[in-house]
Amino acid sequence: MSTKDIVNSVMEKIENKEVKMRPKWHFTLLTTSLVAGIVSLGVVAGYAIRIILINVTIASSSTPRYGLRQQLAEMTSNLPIEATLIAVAAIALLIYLIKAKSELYKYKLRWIILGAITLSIIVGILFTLILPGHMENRGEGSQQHTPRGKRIQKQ
Amino acid sequence: MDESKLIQSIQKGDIEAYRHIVEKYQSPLLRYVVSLIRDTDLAEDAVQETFIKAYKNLQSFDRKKQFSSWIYRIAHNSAMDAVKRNRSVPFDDAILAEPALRVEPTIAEEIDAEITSNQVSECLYELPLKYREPLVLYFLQQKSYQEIADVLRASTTSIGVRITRAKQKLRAICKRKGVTP
Repeated sequence: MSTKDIVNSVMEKIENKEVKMRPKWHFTLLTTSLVAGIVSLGVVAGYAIRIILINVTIASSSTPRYGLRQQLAEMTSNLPIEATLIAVAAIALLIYLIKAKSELYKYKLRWIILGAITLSIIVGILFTLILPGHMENRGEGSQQHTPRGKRIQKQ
Repeated sequence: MDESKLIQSIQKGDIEAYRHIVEKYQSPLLRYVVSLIRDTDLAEDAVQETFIKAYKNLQSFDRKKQFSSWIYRIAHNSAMDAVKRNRSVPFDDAILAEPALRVEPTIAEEIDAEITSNQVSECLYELPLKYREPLVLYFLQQKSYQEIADVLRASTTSIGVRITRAKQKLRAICKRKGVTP
């Protein structure tokens, strides 16, 4: 094949509609799903980190830590299922778009997953640092229990 | 016409404008890919694939960025894919240096006289790909450090270090082979 053949071969495929330009929405969807997936995974990771920290605190404490146990029960019952579902759906869509539909800038699947997990943990840590009150007080029950926790501390 | 405007018109649906892009980039890309995989047939297929991929994904191209870096990156990926697909074609640099597996001089001369007509090219092909690629982009493709960094997804500092090391290694190889660069 000469270089002239490359031009003709490529142009022939384009003109015969064998090769079509992907629409802009394809790439918008790709970016949106990535952002949605990372944010949702971050929320889930934030909850997971909080739950682990509370568990560790309870396990390492010599006192019963009833306040923390209550908080743990509330957090477990108020797990953000919607965020988990969005995260899983967005990551699945992202992997599909990258692996099946996009041939550009190929990354190995393990790197995509590893990257998503790392990013979500970072976002999760940020969530726990920025929004600890929001995460602890999610749900009606927590609003009733938090003041009691404060009273216990005062005593 | 300005390249950015040409890209814009292709994005808007002017298919014929893409011919100018293919004509402009086919030879430099072919030289680049041959320098990576040392197989003319595979290189031609990879370059064709590059243009097809670039066309398919042209809507994702940000016109504020350099088109050449973008298409060279696609060419790089296509070359790597071509090697993976054709496992029978040796990719190991040590094996690539074997005379029997080299690109035929007559064909190679058509591709790049700069490379094959000079004995230094023999030394160049003995360089590991990690060093050969930035060297080829810098000296044969006349790319800037920033452009090479964009193509290879590395920092300009890292590219600078790689080029310096590549030159040192190339000098050592040439010396061993009795070639004066």
